[in-house]
Amino acid sequence: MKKRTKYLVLRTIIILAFGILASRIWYIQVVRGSYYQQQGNTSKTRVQPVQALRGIIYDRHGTQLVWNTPAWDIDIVPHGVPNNGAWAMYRRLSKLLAGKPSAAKIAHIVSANMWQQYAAVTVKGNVSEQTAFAVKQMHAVLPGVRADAVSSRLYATGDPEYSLSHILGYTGIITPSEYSTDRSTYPYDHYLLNDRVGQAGIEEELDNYLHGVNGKELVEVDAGERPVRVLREGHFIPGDSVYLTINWKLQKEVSRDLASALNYLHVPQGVAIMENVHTGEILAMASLPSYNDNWFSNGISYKRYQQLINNPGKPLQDNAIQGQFAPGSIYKVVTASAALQSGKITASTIVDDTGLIDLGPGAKFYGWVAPPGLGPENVVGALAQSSDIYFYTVVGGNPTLPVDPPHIGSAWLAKYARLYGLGQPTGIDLPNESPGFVPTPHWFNSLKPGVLKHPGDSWTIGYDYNSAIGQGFNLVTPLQMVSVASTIANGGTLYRPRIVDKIVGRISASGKTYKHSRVIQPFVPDPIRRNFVSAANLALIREGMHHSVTSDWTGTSHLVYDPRIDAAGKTGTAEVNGKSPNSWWLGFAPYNNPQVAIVVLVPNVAAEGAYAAAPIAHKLLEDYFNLKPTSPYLGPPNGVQLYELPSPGGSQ
Amino acid sequence: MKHWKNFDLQLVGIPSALVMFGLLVLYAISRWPTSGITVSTPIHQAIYALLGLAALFFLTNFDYRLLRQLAAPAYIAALGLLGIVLVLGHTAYGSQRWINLGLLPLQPSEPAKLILIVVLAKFFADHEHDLDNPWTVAKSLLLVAIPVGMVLYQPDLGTSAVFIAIWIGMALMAGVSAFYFVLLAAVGAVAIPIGWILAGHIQRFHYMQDRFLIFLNPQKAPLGAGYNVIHSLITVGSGGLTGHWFQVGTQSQLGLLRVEDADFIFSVIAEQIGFLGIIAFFGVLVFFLLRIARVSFMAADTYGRLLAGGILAMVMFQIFVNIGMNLGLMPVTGIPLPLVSYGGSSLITTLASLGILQSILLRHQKLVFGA
Repeated sequence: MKKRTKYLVLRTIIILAFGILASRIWYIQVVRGSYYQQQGNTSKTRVQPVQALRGIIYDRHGTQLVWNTPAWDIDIVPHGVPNNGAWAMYRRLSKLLAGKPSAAKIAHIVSANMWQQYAAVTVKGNVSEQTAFAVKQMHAVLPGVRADAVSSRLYATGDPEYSLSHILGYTGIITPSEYSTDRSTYPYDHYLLNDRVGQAGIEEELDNYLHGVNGKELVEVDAGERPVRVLREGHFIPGDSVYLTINWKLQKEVSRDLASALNYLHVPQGVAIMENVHTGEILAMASLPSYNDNWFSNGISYKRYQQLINNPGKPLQDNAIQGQFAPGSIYKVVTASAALQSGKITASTIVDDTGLIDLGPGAKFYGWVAPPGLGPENVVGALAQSSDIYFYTVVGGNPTLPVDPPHIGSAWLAKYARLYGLGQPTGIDLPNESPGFVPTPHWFNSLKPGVLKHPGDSWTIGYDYNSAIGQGFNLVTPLQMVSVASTIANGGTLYRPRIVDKIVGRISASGKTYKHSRVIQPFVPDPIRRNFVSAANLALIREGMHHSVTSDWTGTSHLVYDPRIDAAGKTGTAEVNGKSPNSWWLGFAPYNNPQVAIVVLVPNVAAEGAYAAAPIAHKLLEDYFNLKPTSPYLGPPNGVQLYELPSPGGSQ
Repeated sequence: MKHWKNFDLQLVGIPSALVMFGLLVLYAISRWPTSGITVSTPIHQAIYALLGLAALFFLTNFDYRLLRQLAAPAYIAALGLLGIVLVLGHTAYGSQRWINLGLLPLQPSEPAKLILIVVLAKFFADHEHDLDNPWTVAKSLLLVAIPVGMVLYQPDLGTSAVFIAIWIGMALMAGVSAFYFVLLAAVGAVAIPIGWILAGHIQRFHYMQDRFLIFLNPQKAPLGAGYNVIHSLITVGSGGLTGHWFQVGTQSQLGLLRVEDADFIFSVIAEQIGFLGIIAFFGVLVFFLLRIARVSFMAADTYGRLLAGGILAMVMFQIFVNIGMNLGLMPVTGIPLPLVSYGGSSLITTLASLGILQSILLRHQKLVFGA
């Protein structure tokens, strides 16, 4: 081959080689250009949710009780995780997150969420800023992993007692079961896989309002599914603001004073509730011990959770609405109502309290004052001195007398208990409220033998006696009893207790959204029923409760006596099998122009209602009326013996 | 006897323009927040370019015929460096290719390409009249086989292919009979399936099999090994007829493409300048290669002719394979686009080889009258 020919051949080869490349690139860029452009677009754009800012919760005067604070979540988008090297990435991520969760757990989260592989799911919430930035820095070796700036909750605690936590509750990263429940309830994307939702208290109950409506934005993502550019902004609708009926200042005082009293009494638990008698608004509601809801909103540690679970005071339970207790003698206001309404008992009906009704061996029913007892009592005196014999007799009669006096029976009593709202949830805007229990002879007689009933047992007069004084099968929540107190105080209207004053925002109850913020739901007093007890009869009951406070040392509530307050009320000491009794005080103030109803409960304390709950109620009423405390300590005055149980069945 | 009037300005100007263009693209990439590349990349590349130009002018001045004497020690040095890489090399993308020298991480397989050209040129020139002897051919093959084996063991399929391409180019240029190529092709046809099966048993070589299988069907592992193939096509295709010219929001800015400063820089270029731009870019490359080819036909002696032929084979093969890989025509191997891709060893080697070409040109006239 000649040199010139060789050169020509070589030049031709060079040009031909580029001819091949040029035709290939013509094919890719021009012929298939739009196909690849579309491929590029679909591979890089995502419709991504924008999490709505959660609504704020205020007290009745607009004091902010919760703040949204920035937090970091580590999320993973399953689609961004490469097939090769996924495990190495999980191990790397787990190490970065200090081993929690483990690589295996991360792998499980990813595989469990493969069915919607473009949705971010939270691997770990509330990580430190350093961790979040480390994840961002290492994005090249953590494909699919994002550090997302989110909004977490910071709750007002006010004092170490955290009494607001039961009311506010907390939010947390949505659990798989919450997510699937939501999916089956709502047809649209209500919650996201990496959402935070209310998991207790108002946060849970009003989550539909507080959560807000998530927006959707169009973003470009990189290979690791991390957004690099927003193509179309998405706007969320912030959650509604919730105004509670709680007076934050009073709440703090109530929980502080309750806590110091419990400390004095050496008992862990205590409940205090104050309600506006004319509206049913809850002004303060404390159930101690409590927990700090910020522990939960920041992702509670296993150790701390175990401590809460194992605490004998059961801090996670809101005893104000969830605890069910034997009411004891505070129930006598209900018994008195039922008796007077029957017409069989009147203001002038007298029962001689001899301290004992002896129905034979094993059936001796004592009053709280041993024979010779309190002497003759009418309804006012019976309430003031808490005569057990009086209330035994008006409910169950007294077969030991020559003529059995007129009596109402337990079915009639149960009817009035239910009219007062007992045995059913009050309907307050808080989750997991307990119903309590009102026993009836019919219920007992149709009950199958078991723990509560021996075979062949049926309702007898003894059960009538127990029901009459709030013992036996009766169970109430403190909230139910404060409603009873309000009803008596306001002249006969049972209001649904309300803890939410109003909801302000752009999202309606039905999920409709408005352009501008408005009052979604104003507070209106919500009467359940009226006048089921006549005004005259209620006046007698109030008078009895007033005497309980004012009759110097003959009334059981004398430790609440305070002319500045002029309260009326009723003590209760409910026996509990195998434990110390529950100490109650139920009342309202002022007597002549009632404003506030109050219930105080100290469960399982070795002191009767008069000496444990009553002085606490006195102190809390001083808080309510902004009065100077009259006594430097709470509890029984010097020289008064702590309560010893009379036997059997007596109650003060 | 050198004649500066024979200095080929175009053979410096065109590659300089290509280097400048590469620097601009690298700078643009470094400005994208997603790329993971900082501005130190184009700065380093500029320093390498200056070092390369120094090498270019040094070798221009250096009589290429003296390289003939340096062939043997250079060959041994190259093998030594390749050996060091195997022992304590720096691992990247699954293979050991670098020796860490601090500022300048050396990839010995790059200078080894040029040293192999120098060695083979000497060998073929020495045996110019003995090329029909099968032993001669076998010995030349052995010279290639040793570095090929060492590089394959790294494992670096791309560089060993470049070595083989250099041998083929130079053997053709030297005039080795077509019979031997047919014979070698036949041997290859038998050896490759056997090698394939053997590679299947050695963990170290699995990546090569993966690369090849993925090349045949990228969708097989869209997020694994096929990922780059798919995304290079999407990136190139997104350029369309006219390209995006470094606007915001193009495919290559999303960081979807890996090694976009080196192996896949062509995809970035293709998206940015579009089909029309690429045709112009190809025009420049063709002109550049024709200028190199011209040297081999102007050389005064066989040695110079073979040197130029080897350099042409090296540069052209790398350009073709790199672009082919970006366009899904070739399996993905770590072969850079000469003068454009980021990488000091490759850039300096390529510029140095252009210096050798200038040296050949300056000395191509045996006699100049009146001088």
